[in-house]
Amino acid sequence: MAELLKIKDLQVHFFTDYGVVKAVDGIDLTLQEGEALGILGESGCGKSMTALAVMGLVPFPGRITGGEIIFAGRDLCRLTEKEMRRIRGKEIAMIFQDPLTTLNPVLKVGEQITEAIRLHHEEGDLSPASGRRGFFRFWEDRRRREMAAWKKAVEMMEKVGIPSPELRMEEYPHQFSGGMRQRAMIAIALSCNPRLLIADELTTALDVTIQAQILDLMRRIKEDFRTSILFISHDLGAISELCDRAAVMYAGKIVETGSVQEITGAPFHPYTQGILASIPRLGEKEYRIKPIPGNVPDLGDLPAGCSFFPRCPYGQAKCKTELPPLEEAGEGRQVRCFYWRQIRAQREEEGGIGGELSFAGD
Amino acid sequence: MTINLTQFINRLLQTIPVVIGVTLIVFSLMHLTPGDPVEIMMGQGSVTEGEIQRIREELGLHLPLPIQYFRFVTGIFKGDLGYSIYYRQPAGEVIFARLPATFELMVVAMIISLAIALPLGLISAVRQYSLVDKIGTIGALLGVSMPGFWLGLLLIMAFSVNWIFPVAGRIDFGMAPQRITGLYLLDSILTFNWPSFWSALRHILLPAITLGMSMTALTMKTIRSSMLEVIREDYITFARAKGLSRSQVVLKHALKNALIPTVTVITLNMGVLLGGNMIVETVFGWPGLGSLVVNAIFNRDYPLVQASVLIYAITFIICNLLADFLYTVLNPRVKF
Repeated sequence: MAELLKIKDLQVHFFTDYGVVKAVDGIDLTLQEGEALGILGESGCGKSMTALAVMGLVPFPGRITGGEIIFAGRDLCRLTEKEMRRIRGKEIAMIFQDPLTTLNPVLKVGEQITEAIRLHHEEGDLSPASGRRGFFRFWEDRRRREMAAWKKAVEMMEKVGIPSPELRMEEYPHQFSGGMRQRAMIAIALSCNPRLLIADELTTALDVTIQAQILDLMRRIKEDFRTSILFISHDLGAISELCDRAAVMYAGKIVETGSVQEITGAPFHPYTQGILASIPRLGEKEYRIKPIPGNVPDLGDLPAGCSFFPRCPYGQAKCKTELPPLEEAGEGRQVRCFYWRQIRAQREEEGGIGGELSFAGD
Repeated sequence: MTINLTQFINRLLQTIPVVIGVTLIVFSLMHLTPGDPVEIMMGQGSVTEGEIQRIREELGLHLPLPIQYFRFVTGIFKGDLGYSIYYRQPAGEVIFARLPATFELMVVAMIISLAIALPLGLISAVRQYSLVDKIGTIGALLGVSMPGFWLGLLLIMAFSVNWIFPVAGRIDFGMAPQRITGLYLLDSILTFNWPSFWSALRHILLPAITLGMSMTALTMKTIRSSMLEVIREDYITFARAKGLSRSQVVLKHALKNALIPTVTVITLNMGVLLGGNMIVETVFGWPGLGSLVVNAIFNRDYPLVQASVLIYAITFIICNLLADFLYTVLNPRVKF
């Protein structure tokens, strides 16, 4: 498998009136061709900003202040806006969290799909040029392109499971249900056969049954289209359903990476453990949900040492002053904690799996 | 966008009580204010009491008020808007002779105002806090707070006295084009009468700017704020993520949404333009409906005031209807 996306020491900073907010603070990620990578983390830990940085759409007053985003051999940070436009939508597509607000309410769904198709397909790509010459040729070609884009859009809507797509093309987003809008959005994103699909909190705004359907659809996309997926979520369940590997982010940094089995089965970082422990389980005697105490620190005013230290049950004096490095902890596995070895040892001793390890003082 | 015909007709029927209400209010107001129109007509002194009585009977002013009102309303349905005491002509004729001038002024004011407000509002939203935005914001504040009569006088002082633009009137003497629509600009284009066109244009520019100023400011503000709201929406980021350029996104995805509240403000403001033109027409000596009404009020020309106010009210109602209609056209989520 070839490397499709490699993010090196990426930094996205926001220059606000109250100081610099380090939304993404030096993260490294790699994504193989055909792989699905999950990024897990609480709200406000920089997941979405990482995605927007890859798209080159970091909103003002934010800026990519350092690092590289190598996509298929090219550093996206160095591309001009015009070059970036050719990549957006065509090579890297992105789908957003809230299907209710992501489709333009005043444009027909069909128009919103064909727009992307017309934009990225070359003229000959959609349909061969007509035999006519001269004045009419322009209109003829245009009409053919539009027809071809229309056909392609209908096909895409069918593929993502929207019933009677021809009729639905003529409707406005408000005539679609939430799940159908999500599908329409996925159809738009896939319409140009992107190599990388970024899904930002794709299932968060949907109810559980629809979530399952959409995840199912995503899995099919991964297999049928061979699209690599960067799946951003705070829902470990969704990530473990879809992804091969996962990266856990906390306060703009990656704290743990590994295969989904490793992350969910044997997390080394206390934060990952906290996330796992906070998932309610069937058949448990304790009915209360165990949250991680405290909140994500203010990204404009991060502690000097480990940013998880204030909430960490294992915290030592060293953690307060020194930033732990991202250490290799096995094949394709990285952890940003000074004490991950001890945690692993303790885990093996107890023979427990994620969630059953109790926090000190809990 | 599908417009249901029955609903449309329903909406149309809703305006009838409004029109009746307007006639009632207009009628009562004119009769409640002191001053006898017949005395004004006759001037002071030389007429006898009997003559006055005769004229009052001729005009129906001796009848009880309810009957006068009834005659007024039934007259409207027969196309009879009353008889102007001062001009000694049917009020309808007097008004419709003046209407094209006012309409022309309104349209030009509107065009100028939109030509300034739309691009400026758009740029100030897309480039928030830029120089254009700051100048636009200050300009809008000035435009809103400057009363029309004062701005008009300033413009006359700055440009008119022995300079580019004439001080008053609609067109230079003897230049009026052949009457087709009554709109001088349009008529002179239709008859290829360029000297007339130039003269009409020079005359209309200052009053139109004056009239359109407050609306320009308001439209600019509206489009700026609705644009600012829209460009923060998810669908804008999504449109950018499709690979559309910034300008494509602004002009296609954002503008269409931002226009929804803006068009409502613009259409409702057309009514305000109509009200504002009384002052502007008086300042610039524009021979339109506005100056006609002002004179009619001073002359206590009851029937003429009644008829003009009725015309004003109907125009307002049409503007309202238009606002509702455009709103449904632009916003697929809403039906009549």
